[in-house]
Amino acid sequence: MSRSLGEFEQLLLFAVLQLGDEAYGARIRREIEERTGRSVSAGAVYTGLDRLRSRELVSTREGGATPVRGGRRKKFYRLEPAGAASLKETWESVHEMAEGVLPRLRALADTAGPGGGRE
Amino acid sequence: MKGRPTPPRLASALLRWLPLPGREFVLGDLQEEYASVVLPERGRLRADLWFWSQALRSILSLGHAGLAETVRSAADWVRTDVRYGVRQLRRAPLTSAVAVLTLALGLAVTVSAVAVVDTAYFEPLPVPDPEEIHAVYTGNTFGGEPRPFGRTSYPDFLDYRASGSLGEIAAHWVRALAVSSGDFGPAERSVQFVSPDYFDVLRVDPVRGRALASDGATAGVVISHHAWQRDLGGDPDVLGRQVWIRGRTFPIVGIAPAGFRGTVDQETDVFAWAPLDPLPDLLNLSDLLTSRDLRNFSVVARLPAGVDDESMRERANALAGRLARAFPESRTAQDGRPHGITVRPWDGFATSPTARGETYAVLGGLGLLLMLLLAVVCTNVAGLLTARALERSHEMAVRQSLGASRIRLSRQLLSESLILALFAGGLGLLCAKWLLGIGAVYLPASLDLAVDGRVMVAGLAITVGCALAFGLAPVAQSLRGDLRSSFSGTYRRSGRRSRLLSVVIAVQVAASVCLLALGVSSLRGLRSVEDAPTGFDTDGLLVASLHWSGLRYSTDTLRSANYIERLRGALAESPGVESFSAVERPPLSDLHSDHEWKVVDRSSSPPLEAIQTHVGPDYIRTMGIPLLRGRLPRRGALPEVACVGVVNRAFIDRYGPGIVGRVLEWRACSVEVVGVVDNARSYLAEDGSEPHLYWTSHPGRPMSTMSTSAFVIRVAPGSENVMARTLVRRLAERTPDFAPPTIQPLDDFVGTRTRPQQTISRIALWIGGVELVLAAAGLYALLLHVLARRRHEIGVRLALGAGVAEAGWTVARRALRSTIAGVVLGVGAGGAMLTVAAPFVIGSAPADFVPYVIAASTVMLVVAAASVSPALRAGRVQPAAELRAD
Repeated sequence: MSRSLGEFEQLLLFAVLQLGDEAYGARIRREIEERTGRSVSAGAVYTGLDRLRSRELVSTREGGATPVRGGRRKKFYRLEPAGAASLKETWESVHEMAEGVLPRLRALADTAGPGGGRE
Repeated sequence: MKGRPTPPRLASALLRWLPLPGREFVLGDLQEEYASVVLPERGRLRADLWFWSQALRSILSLGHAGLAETVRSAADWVRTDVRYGVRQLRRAPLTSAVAVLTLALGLAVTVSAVAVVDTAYFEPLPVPDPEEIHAVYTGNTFGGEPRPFGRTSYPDFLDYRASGSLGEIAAHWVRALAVSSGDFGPAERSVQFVSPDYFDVLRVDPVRGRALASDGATAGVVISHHAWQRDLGGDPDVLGRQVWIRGRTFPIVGIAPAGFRGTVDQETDVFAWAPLDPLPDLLNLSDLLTSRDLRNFSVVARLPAGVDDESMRERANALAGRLARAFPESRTAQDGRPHGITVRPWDGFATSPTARGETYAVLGGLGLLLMLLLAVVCTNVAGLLTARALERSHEMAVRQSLGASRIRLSRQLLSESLILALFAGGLGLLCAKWLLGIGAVYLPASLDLAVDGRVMVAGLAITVGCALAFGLAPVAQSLRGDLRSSFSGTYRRSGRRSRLLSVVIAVQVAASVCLLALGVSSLRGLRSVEDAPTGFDTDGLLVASLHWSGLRYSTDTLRSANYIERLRGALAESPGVESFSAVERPPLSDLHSDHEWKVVDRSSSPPLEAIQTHVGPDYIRTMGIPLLRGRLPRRGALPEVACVGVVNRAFIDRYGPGIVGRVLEWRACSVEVVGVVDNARSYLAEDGSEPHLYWTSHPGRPMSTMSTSAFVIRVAPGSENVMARTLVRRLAERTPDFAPPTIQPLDDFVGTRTRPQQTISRIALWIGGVELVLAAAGLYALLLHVLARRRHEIGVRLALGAGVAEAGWTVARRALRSTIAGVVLGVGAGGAMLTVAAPFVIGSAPADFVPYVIAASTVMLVVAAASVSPALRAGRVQPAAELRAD
């Protein structure tokens, strides 16, 4: 049985899935920032994806070098079936746990205000 | 045309230069995003900030990932290389075991020596803030030569202390004196006499009791922890017990902490610290503490932290100048310059800096010997591993052809060497602990020998150094071989390495034979001396050795004569003493009689020569030497001539029977020969067959104190030990102002004389044994080497009809050459050394061939055992496999 995915790993895999053939470091980073509003470093994206690659959840291929990248090549990522299964399993687990309690969760979060949470 | 926007160069360079995984892709991503998204949206400044922030955060992320990767690859190395290495070592268990044992032996000896030297010379004083402790030297002139590192007189020390210039200071002087306490001793022990503030200066608190009092009248001694344990049996009620130091009584007032040895050199084992006040009386030096000319004291100082060398020198010079003006006679040199004061940090050598040459030479020599030993060990282990590498060259060739790089193979082989060395290192440390236990018997008991953290680090460093030293040999072997010859199993190599190994083995065999022969010869000599008939009755004979400690030759003749008379009286009144006699030199106490051969009659032509011994009138009777003719000197009878003597049978045999009744003209007195006794041994290295004259001066009176070093005492056979203890107590009671004599049964007395030779002989046998093990390991390596190189040839011979025995002999005969050369060399060296050392060896017999036979046959036997496995392997070579390789 594969190890369950962490939150950041889920984000990475969803980004790879969203971007399809255009999933490479810079696009993935931007995708996550735009969708979640979180600031993510390019290095964190790379090391996270490399970890997923070593677990064979994603595969990589190298693209051509472009002048705008300073003559450096892109590394494209693709979601592998094992990665898809793992993401699905993790996501469903969270979904199951959240079922029926989302309205309460939203209500509680709203009372905490935009700063969120009590001290 | 506007150029392409470039992100901050420094941030890019940082990311590019740091050795981080994936940095090229990350940099490409950041550059693309910078140029195509961030710069157009946010402007230059904010884009640059964004790039810097991304670059730094990425460096952290990638660095963290890189570190994790390094740890992962180290774990991978442990998993693969180490596991594979252990498997390889297990596949050749005999070779691995021999290599581990050989290396462990070398490491054990080296680590033990390192531990001893470290403890003796390099451990700081076990006192608080040891870096504040300094030695203070007073300059003087000797034979016109200035000596800056001299000792200090007591008045000078008092002036130093009063001046306050040298911090807190204390004086001390260590003396070896006769010490006894109850049923311990009397035995010679070192006592450090110290000024009252000695323990305060060192900040050492006794673990029990108190430190020394400054008042001489109530002063006691503080005993060392090991003296408490060793000499006083760890008695919990030891405080208040009495010890006698040269006949004077001191109560024990404290016990020093374990590990505290005082401020003495490494050979000195302090029994106790005593106050200075009684010292003039004990040493009969009345002005010891008042004369500025008696410079006997060492001075130890505790300088406050922060006093630099320059200011210390200025203070010392100022003090020396002041004292030179006040006491010009004792404090100035011939040229009028003041005797200087030098302050140096205490460094554990405890001797003055000018007297350290010998210590440095010994330590340097020891270091050289250890390096030589390790070099021999590493050569042997390298030989073993090279032979193994030759056997594995096929495997290495396969791995190379499958893509393994040379670096990868080298790393694998070095890993194997390191594993082997670490196994050996662990075993070596255990053996070192054991060796230190044995060696502690021969070293000062106060040296707290242990394999501590420092020694373990040194041991680990030596182990790794050895692993690299011998590990490179198989690596070089594997890298040099070409794939073709490796696959075919034919090796065209120069025999240079195996020739070097042969020479090393021959030298080791020679050393082993030589040391074994010396050890066996020496022990046989001792046995023959101990077993030889003495010519007197040894049962029930005690020897009481007196501890004069200088008084014997002192001018206080009345006191010393009184001492002898009191001993004599105590012995005469002791029940169980059948007879006793004073003697100039106890029987069997010395090795040779050479220096005692004297002309005993000048009136004859040629003059008569014989061994002579000055004895009391009851000596012959006490010793139980049979009287053959005439009579013995009679106690109480007033002689007509000054001296009366008896001669032994050998004297008559050499000079004729007419000697009885004659008066020998000898020295200033004449000796009337009144009888003939049977031959008896006086020395360990003689058989009693030499002419001997026992003479007694003034048979009616006691011998002079100058002639008396011992008493022989006759007691009932079987009661020797009980009587020895009883008599020591009785004599101690009767002569409390002197150290009681040591009283031993004759066998024990002889044992103390022969023990040093016994110890040296055993050490020679041990070292010879170690050499033999090393030689056997080296030989085993050599034969494996030979087998690997000639495997193909042996296969061909077997195919052509040669027998298994012949194949084995092809390999084993190589052992014969080195061994025979070594044995011949060893026997020659042993014979030469025995001949040179003969005058100093008890029972020496250089012509006795038995030790050489024993040594040579032992070595041959071990060598034969070491050759068995390689010879058997040669017999098991598969001809078909070897021929197929062609």
